[in-house]
Amino acid sequence: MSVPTVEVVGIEKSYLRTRALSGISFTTGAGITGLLGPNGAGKTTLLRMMATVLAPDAGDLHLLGWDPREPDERLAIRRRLGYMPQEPGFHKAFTAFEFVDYIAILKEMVDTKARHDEVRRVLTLVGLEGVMGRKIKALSGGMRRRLAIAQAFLGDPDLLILDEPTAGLDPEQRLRFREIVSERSEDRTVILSTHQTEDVAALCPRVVVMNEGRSLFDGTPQELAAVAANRVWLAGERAPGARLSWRTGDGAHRNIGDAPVGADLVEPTVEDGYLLLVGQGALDEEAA
Amino acid sequence: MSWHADAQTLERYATNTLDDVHAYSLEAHLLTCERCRMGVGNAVDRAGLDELWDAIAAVVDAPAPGPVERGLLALGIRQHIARLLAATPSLRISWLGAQAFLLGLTAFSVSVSDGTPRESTALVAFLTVAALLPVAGVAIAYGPGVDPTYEVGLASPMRSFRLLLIRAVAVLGTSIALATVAATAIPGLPWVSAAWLLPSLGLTLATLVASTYVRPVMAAAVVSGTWALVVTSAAYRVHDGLAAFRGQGQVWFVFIIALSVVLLAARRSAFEQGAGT
Amino acid sequence: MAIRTDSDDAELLAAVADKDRDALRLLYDRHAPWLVLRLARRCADPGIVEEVVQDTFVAVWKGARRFRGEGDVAAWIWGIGIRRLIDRLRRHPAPIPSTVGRNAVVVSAEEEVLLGVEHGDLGAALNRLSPELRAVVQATVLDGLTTREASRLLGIPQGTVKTRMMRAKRELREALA
Repeated sequence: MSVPTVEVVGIEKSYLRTRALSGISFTTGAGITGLLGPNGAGKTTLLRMMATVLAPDAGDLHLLGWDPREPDERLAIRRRLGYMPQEPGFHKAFTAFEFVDYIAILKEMVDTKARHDEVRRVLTLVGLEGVMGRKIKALSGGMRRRLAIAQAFLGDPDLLILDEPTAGLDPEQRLRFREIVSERSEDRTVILSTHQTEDVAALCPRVVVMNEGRSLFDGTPQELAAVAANRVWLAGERAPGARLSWRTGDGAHRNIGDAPVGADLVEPTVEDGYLLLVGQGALDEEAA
Repeated sequence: MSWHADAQTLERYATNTLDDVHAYSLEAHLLTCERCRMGVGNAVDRAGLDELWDAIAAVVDAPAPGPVERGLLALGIRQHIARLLAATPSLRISWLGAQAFLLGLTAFSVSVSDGTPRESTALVAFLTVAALLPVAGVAIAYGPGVDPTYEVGLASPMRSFRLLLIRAVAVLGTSIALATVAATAIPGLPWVSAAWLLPSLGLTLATLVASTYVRPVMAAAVVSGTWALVVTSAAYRVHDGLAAFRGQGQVWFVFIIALSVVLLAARRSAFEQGAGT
Repeated sequence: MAIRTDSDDAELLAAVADKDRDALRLLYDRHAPWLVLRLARRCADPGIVEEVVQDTFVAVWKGARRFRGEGDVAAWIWGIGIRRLIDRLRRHPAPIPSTVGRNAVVVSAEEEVLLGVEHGDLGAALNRLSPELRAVVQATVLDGLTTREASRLLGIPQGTVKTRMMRAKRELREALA
């Protein structure tokens, strides 16, 4: 792996009575890393920490070589950071251009001409150059999401944190998003969260599976699929010994778990591996 | 449409060698015929037209600021500060209008109330309102829940404290200006009319300090509630509605202002990160 | 509202009213060429023509909502363009285009007959008017300008516009009688 740009070591965070993160660790560098996990897994909490918005209760965090607990270093990180929160908010009375311009000002772009050029650049990047002058309240949901992605690209950041960027996007928009993000991805570190395994399979050379504040897996999508090797089979109906089972589009049942002898084994997909891990975690909690 | 211009006519028209009569009928025709317009389009130099489009795009893309921002720019405020202020909920026309209305109402009721203005409860109401309006304005100028880009703002290099100060100054400035104008409606007591000035500064600063501990809206509520209690209890104790605004009260506020400034400077880093939700 | 390259002008204009920049670009591609040429036949300074075309499309961007669907979009755009030109010329008078090279086309009797065939007697009669009279006819009849607007465009006093118009009418009547 190249030079590590994000180092997460034993991070913990609790809110009142909930433990959002219970000691999660991983290290990553340039390229796209996907955080995969169900709702409540702690992805947003971790991403907020990586965006320097939230401080951990315990553990160490290093971003681009700096420690966000030190104010000066935090500032240095923020100058090279692009962040898209899970629920992006907008000043509805602004136009698309004015809104991105406003964020650009928050990013300390003081020179008006250079800033306006940069605003136009990121809006063109996400395909919104045709509606720059339109008020945000007149934009569709998908356009607003693209707007939120655009502002994250302001200033060409070295660290890009995107929380559920593909939520609410149709397949065509999702494809476009993948193109935008994977362009020049070797030059920067992108960390995005999703609960869609197709996003991860198509886009992320590196996947971290999270559940209940912990990391359950850290590796490539192929390795994640391999977790379910020899543990996925098809049958006419729901198999009694299967951990998970569902009916596929063509009528057969896909089962994951300990396959009985002579079962019709199939190649596992990334989704199979993910379900096996997450399902297992949920079952362990019950048993404990 | 049965008649269309032939290529030679269009060519002549494009090179300005077509006679007037033919040109007249062509021009009238072009207003209604897409096909011949396209023919003309093919005969004209594209490079020049593309350059001209760039000039048009530059004008069209430049953002035309809204009324609040235009007003700020007219005051000489630099464009990027004006944009930051234009995104403040408490600098919107609706909020400013509401403030003006409330102040106007209370000031008016003072000038028409019975008895000397010195004793009227209407005057107490005016002074309390004038002192508290900037507190409310600051509460909705910044912070989670009122600022839709709060998260992104935290993650950006500009110090959130600076953003808050810029907005707080603007909110305070507009409230003071509005209250001063409203106070001119109260006859005969210039010093009393200004008695809200130090309290409004002190209460606003106290709210800012309190919002390093709790959310701004909560901070404003606590400060306002405490102040309302102080005003009423002081009034009851000495049977003088204006007790809290007199000399001793003003002196208290000088201390509060000084203390708040010190505390705010010391605790300013609390604005730079979010609390867990 | 999604526009396509085959959307009609009215649809594009409605999209422009919604601040759709791509729609403005399409309208520009369709209408800028003829607008440039038509304005150039009324003003010899190409710099002024360019500025007026730029102003016109910016005005289209800002005022798209004002188009009420009456008539062709092209005619609406022309109305904006010619008035911008007149306004510009009021502040900075500019040369009228020379008509040399235009009449040279119609010389032979043969072509005059052809002209008569294509446009009727009116065409031939118009052609026999002097260039100044023709210019007044163009401004008031073809471009639909008022006397005052025509006087600004042509750089002549309003009285002269009126007298030339009367002479033109008289000569045309005589030619067609």
